Amino acid sequence: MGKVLEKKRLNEFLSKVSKGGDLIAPVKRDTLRFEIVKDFNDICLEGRPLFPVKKFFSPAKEDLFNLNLTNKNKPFDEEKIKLKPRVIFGGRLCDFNGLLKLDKLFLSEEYQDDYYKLARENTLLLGINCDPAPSEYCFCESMDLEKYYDLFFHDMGDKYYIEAGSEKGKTLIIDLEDYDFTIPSIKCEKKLYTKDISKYYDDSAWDKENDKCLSCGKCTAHCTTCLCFDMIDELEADVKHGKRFKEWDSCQFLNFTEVAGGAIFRKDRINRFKHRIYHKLQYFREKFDMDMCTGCGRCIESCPRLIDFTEVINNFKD
Amino acid sequence: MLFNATPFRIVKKEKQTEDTYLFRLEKPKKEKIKLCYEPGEFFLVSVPGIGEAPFSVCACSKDFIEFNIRGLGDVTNHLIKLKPGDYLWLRGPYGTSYPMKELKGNSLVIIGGGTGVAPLRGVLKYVEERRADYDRVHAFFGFRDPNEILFKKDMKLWNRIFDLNLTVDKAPKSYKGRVGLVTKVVEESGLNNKNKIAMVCGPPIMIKFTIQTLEKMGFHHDQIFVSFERRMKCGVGMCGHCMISGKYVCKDGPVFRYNKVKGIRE
Amino acid sequence: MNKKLRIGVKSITGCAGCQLSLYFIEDVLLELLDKIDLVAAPMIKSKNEEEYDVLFIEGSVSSQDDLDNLLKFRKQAKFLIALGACASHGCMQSMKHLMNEKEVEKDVYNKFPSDKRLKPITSVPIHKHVKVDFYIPGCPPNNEEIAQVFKWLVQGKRLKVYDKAVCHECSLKENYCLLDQGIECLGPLMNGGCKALCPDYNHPCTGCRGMLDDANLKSGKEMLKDKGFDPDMMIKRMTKYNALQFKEFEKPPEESK
Repeated sequence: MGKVLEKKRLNEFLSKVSKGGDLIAPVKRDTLRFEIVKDFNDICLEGRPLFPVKKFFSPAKEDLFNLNLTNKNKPFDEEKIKLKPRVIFGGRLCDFNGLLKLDKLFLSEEYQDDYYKLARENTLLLGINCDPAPSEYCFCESMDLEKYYDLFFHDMGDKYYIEAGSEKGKTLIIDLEDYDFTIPSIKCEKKLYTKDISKYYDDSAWDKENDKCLSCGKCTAHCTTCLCFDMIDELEADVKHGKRFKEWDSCQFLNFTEVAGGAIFRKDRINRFKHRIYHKLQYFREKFDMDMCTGCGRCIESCPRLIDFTEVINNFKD
Repeated sequence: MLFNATPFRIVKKEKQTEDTYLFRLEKPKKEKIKLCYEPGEFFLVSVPGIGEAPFSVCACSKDFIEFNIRGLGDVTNHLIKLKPGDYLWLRGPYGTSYPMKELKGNSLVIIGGGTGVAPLRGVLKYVEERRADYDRVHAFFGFRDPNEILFKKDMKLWNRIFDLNLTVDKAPKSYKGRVGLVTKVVEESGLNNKNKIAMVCGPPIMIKFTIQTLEKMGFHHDQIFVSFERRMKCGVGMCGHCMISGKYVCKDGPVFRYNKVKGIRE
Repeated sequence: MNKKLRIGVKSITGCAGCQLSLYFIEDVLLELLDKIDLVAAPMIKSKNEEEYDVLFIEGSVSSQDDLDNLLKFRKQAKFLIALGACASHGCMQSMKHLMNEKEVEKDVYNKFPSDKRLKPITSVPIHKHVKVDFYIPGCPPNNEEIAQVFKWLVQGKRLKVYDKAVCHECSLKENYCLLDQGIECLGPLMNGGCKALCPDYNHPCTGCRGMLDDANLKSGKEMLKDKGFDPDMMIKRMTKYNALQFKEFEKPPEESK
């Protein structure tokens, strides 16, 4: 049993739950993006942003240390992380499931990323159901997504049916009117028929798609769960002060595995091409018993050649 | 924070080859730090304004830790210019180690090539202090040429207490030692696999052929440990650079039992 | 250690815009003046010395004079940096590699038959004639990158050219992909490092920083065709800065004997 909210009261509701913090939602400018909302009327729930929400949990560029080479005893000064509480509204199940997967890497038992941890603790996840699927490239139906959210909205025409997925979520809607409804599950046109691809590594079907690959790294930039990064030191003009920062990187680039001395371990494009997909579907599962893919299809939709790995996998012959 | 480094003071710097130095670092007294690190583990050494690079523990006691550093990239070229009294910024230890306690009673076959000898020195130093705990130790070390030979001082001792086989790939005619590939020397030793554990570290091509040789000599894959080197940024299994076939060299490695990584693809 | 780095800038055939870009980082240069000596900077100094620790060369080799000068410069420089698209990839002068060179020469120089000083030779980037230690590509090269190179030189750090696709930096900014908007952007084939400056302003990338080392040209051409762009026009765009690279990519692989 959930609750119901009239659409005309949505802004009022959002302003209440995001009070004292930032509201993040899809905003339409030249294209749709998740942004910090300045005007509630900018929020657009038609379609889905092609860039995921990961940037709010580990930004494309994040300063780690202020460097001061003149201070021999303390050349590294830790960057203070300041984060306002945040509410993400209008994320889809794929967006939020992406976070569950990233938790495995950034909030492991031994090591936790400070920014990610703080962002996760301070963000409320208000999702919206995909009815119909927002893109022809979605295939999340095949990816066993969890119902992971604080609140989940379903569009019922003039009102939203809202379900809580956490205790925190429940308290947010406690005042709303009760409503009896079952949210329909997401239907995708695209399917991924098998996720066990271990025995197909050397299948020649990969080659055809690999021939199309430009190694431009757009698939990883748009992926809900790709957060590989580089760590870089950069100094100011005085060559004494500077920053050490993290910046997103991509396994699709030639230099990703380059070591001092110049050797490159994944030099051939095909190895890089397959590495991404095998990481998503096989390697991650071996470690954490879940796929690293949420079936959002952003990697396909954003690819300049519309390379579709699900097609390759679906067409493997035993 | 995750990437915070601790300063360790350099107390000794010993030239090994033209571009390689052995650094002994004193453990900071104030910091709460583990007393001794296991051989195989590594640290990320940081140079402010330049970056970080990983180094295997090359020897360790309760007061000091040693690294073998070869000037190859930006960080290392800077490090080898440092002098005793300067500080190195360390974070770690990271990664897996050779399970030395578990291996007690075994005979060890230690095979290293080039700078890959450094983490294995950690093993030999460990055994030196606990010689009675292990059976015979066969060490096979290969270097490019006589000028590249590392740890010459240690070799004298190892020659007495271990079965040391030193070889170089090529040498001038006047060189008296053994010339030839290390895999060849291993093969000619005629060792069998009985109660033995092999540990292999070196360039990828050397690892590949050494394993083939060990297989021929009857070693099972769970009797072999390999240690990999990959590009590494975070050291904690996040940045993705060092991953091979789903294994993070920084977290699941750098020391792997070979049956766990057999057939992995880049 | 305390010796200042002797730094020079020299030009051969080009528009001199690269040299100008170098002076645009005057704030950085001023900060670094206790560590570097700008011993040759023809655009801002009248007295210029020779012999350099680091020499920046702008322009491509397009005349016999250029070549003679370049060979001389190489001897005078310990470390030589190709500055800008002309010196790095040949830029527009190299477009004639895809045309009949004699006809081009006739078209241009017959207008001034009296000028006997001009001895054009096949226009090429400087690495075709001398060893180049580093490249700062771009037309014009990015100020920040030039500043970065200066800082690295002073730090004694190895110089590193940016070698990821333009799409990378463009995606980090969350730009609306121009290709998705029906605009013929060459970003996926070209070297970034420009912070995706052109696509950021909705202007398609034309590859002033050269093609990626592992550019997939074949697929790139198919992509542009699929999106309905005129193939001839696309090749002209691709070769605006990189005619030589394009030719090398197109060359059938040599048969192994």
